[in-house]
Amino acid sequence: MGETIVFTSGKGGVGKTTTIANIGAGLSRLDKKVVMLDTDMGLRNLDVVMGMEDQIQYNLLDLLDNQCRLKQALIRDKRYPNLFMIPAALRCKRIRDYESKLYTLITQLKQEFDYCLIDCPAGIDDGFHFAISAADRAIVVTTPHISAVRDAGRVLYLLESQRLKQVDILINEYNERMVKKHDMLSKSDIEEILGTNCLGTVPLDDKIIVSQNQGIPVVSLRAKSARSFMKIVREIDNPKIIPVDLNAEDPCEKQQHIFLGGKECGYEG
Amino acid sequence: MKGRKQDDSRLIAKERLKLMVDSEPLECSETTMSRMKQEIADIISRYYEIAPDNYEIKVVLKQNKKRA
Ligand SMILES: Nc1ncnc2c1ncn2[C@@H]1O[C@H](COP(=O)(O)OP(=O)(O)OP(=O)(O)O)[C@@H](O)[C@H]1O
Ligand SMILES: [Mg+2]
Repeated sequence: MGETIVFTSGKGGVGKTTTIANIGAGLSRLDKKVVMLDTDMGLRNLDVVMGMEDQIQYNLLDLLDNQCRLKQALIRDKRYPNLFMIPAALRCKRIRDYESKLYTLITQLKQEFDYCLIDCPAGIDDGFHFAISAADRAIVVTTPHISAVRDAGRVLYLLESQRLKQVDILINEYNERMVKKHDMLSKSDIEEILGTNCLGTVPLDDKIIVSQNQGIPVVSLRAKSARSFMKIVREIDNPKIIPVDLNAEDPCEKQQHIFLGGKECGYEG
Repeated sequence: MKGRKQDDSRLIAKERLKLMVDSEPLECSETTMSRMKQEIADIISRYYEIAPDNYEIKVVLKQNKKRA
């Protein structure tokens, strides 16, 4: 039985699509079978970032409307062994009416895939509620910028009523040099403010832009962000290794917090 | 870098965020707010002989979101 992880943020442009593409590719490198769903209807991006834009015949809405079979909507990545994508539709009327159909689809996908990764639109409107409706777990992507962290806080608050088995944050565009100079919020600052465990940080990296120009995930290249993504991928795939932040005041206390957090929601993993 | 400066922008951001994330503005009507400010002004004038132009009253109401 696979796991469904929604990637959300509140604020737009913080790196949800970039993160999902690389975590998807990274998990498939670890021999996991992965499907990525783009629910950012109207403004699809994941296909472009993955370099799959010219392979689209059907989309998620076609599939939910029974206009095509699952096999027809799944686009297989030619470079990674077990990586698939279902693109977003270019229209998005009454998306919340599709929540039960999405749930049925995801239940079906979880039989076949180890991971089902959902790319969520920015904002906290209907598209957000649709995207989180069938998730087991959420990763809230933020940057260390004050407005992004605030919006992440808002999203974490909204996710609380969702009864997910695990919620973590991921910090993108992290600048170690600025953090050292106390010019940027640090990983532990953000964990403290949001009261949530951080899976890892990804630096601002020109190679991400270059790789997206070419339609390939950066984890395929030699790049500092590729190493960060692979570290996060291992973190996601191996929940027994609990992240210990050496900068935190008391790492033991933090471990316990994560453990209890999971237990409270009935997490068996 | 040696000791932290008081005005590290990182610490300012952190303090601001702590207020923002744990609480949200409480709705308060215009008339309630002005009556409240008038009552506060009355108290101030009991203790100080000061013209209203020489002070400013700012009331920020926050409610806890009570995140689990
Ligand atoms: N770590 C990084 N270093 C450099 N560029 C990055 C990084 N992360 C993201 N970007 C760039 O920032 C832009 C926005 O990223 P992305 O599309 O992943 O964000 P998003 O959260 O999915 O946006 P939206 O809210 O619009 O869906 C992209 O052009 C991407 O190439
Ligand atoms: Mg996106």
